[in-house]
Amino acid sequence: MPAALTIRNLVKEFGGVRAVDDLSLAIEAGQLYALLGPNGAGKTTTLRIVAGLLAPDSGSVEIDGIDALADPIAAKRITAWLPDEPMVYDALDVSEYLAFIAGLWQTPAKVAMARAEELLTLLDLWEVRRQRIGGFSRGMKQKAALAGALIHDPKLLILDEPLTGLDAAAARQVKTLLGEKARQGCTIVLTTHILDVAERLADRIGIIAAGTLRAEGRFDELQRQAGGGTLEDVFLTLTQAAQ
Amino acid sequence: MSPGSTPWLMAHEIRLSWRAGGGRTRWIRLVLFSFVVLAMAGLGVPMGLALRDHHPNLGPAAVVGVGLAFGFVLVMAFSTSLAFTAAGFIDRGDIDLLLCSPLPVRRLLTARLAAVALRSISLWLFLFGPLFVAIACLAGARWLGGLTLLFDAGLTGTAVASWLIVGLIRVMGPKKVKSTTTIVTALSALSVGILPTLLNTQFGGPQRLARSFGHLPILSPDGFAAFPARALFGDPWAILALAAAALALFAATTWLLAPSFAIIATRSDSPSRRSAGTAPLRGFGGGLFPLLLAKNYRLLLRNHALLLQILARTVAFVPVLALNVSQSGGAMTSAKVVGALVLVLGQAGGATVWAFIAAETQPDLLASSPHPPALFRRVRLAAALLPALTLVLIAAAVFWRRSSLAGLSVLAMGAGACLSSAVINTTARAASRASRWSNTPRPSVGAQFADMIAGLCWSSAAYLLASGSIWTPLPVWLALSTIVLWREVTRRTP
Repeated sequence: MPAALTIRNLVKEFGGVRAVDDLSLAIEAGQLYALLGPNGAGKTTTLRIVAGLLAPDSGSVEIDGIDALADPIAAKRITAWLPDEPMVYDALDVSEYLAFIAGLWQTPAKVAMARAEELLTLLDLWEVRRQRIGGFSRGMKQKAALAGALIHDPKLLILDEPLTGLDAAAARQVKTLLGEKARQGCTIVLTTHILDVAERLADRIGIIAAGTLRAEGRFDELQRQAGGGTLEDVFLTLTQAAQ
Repeated sequence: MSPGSTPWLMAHEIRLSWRAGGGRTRWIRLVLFSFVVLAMAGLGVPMGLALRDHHPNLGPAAVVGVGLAFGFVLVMAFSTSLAFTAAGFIDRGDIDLLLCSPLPVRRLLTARLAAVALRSISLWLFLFGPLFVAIACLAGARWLGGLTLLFDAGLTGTAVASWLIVGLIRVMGPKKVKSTTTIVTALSALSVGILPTLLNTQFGGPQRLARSFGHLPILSPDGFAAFPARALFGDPWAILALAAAALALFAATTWLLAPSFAIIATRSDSPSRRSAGTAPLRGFGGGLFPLLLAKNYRLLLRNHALLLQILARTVAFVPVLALNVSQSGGAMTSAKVVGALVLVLGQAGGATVWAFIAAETQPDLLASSPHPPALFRRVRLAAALLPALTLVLIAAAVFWRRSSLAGLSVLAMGAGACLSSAVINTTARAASRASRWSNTPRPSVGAQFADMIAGLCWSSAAYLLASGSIWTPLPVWLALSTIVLWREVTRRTP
């Protein structure tokens, strides 16, 4: 299976502090990859570099065979980025927001409309499609942003804490949708502090601390590496060992 | 200071106010204030020398003149306090945090209102304090009574503004209050700008008013209206009476508003949840440029706070136009009027450009899309310049019908002013984060200053061109140099 995302020797410093320190990883197409780590470990910085929002000091990022640093426009065309703070316009209604995102990624109108209807129905937003996003709860905003991220059918979906602010029902909807997208061949990279989600959803898990990848593999492989226990035990063993 | 006490809360409020602007903005503000302080102190020197051997006569003219001046300062103090109170109660978004603490609501409200009053008083003391100090140094300590009038105006303005804000929140909710207070602030500032001109041109100034109404008991030296004049001339009883009245009004305000404030401040604007029924999805399809343009217009037209910022900044310069029209005896095509009009057009253009920049709340979304950043800048500029240049074209067409030179001046220099504002504002710092109830980021002080200098240059150029002067290129060159300098400063700033 070819790699959908390859990161090689990535380095990013902020004012002399190394947020990402020689990070390398490869994620196969169609995989759901969970990037775990304590606060300040460099997860979001790494994802922002992959999404083309930050330039690294050194290293390379390849998305579906495209050098994302040399040709960011081509890489962005097949990528979607969903940060922990939903990127939505409060002044637009859901329908206008999705139409805008579809236009930005130049998705044909007919395809985009069909996809919008499907996503809004799936995420329980169809009834509120003509309401301004500004009046939505945090969870509804998060779901609207997810619909926006998926409307151009990206090959690589990058999610930073996608379940923040969601209630149990909405969290289940999102998890089902992510599982479905992964089955359809979309590569998903997500960060989460909810280790249970990573344990149950992810095909592979990467544990990052102080900007460096400390361990990587399937859950059972990590378990063996850390000497057994739940993912929480494994996570704490590996990150504390790094400190 | 013990934690939780009123002085401790006040210190917290002052710290927040001081840190409201960024580090650099703070120092630019200080430099500008120092400049104003020196200028006002300089202005006070000839006034102090003139008043040195002058014993003020408390006649009807002095009572009317000082009373009107005090009235204008009161309106301006109310106007600024209204803006500060709205910012303190609505923009800062920490009311919930304060109210969930175990401190008494009255103490919290007193500290916040006192901080607002302090900001307002400081502003007026900074502006006019050096003038009174310089006069007092040269003409006697009794002129320091003017400082107490500034103190009274700040305190009274804050009290009245608080009543208005709390009343409006009760009636319409915080979001609409922010828009309403911006309109009231702009209109009261406008009235202070236009009324003195009207007073002088239509009513013959304070002296004629005094001759007409001087016989009224209220205007006698013992009358109620004479208190500001008596305080200004150093009468200790008048100073004490006015200060006591202002303090009493302020104390009563905090005492009486506290109970209702606790309920009102936590009121939020909850939207209704209506089903969309069978309404179809809308807005899909179309080219990228029109799509981005439409999105920019939607974001701005649905953001009342930003629309009101454009209004406020434009309206602030209308008095200059009114003054020039009245001085030109109503001759609309005079060079002075053309110059003032270009100043107003430049401000409207600059405010519009900034509003479009500030309306964009999701720069990361655009940055993560497969398009170069220059495209978004171009669309934003096009969106902003379209209405601004239309306004210039309309104004130029109106002037052209009366005088082709005046029309040409408005067209060329108005367009120049709008374009230079666009360039300066697009290189200004990014918009600050939206607050809980409103999205009112403002351009940096440096950008506003550069914009103002360039605007004045274009205005001077319009004045010179309309007068047929050969010196027209000089202010144009100065305006262009300001833009180049500003771009260089922002390029070198990390």
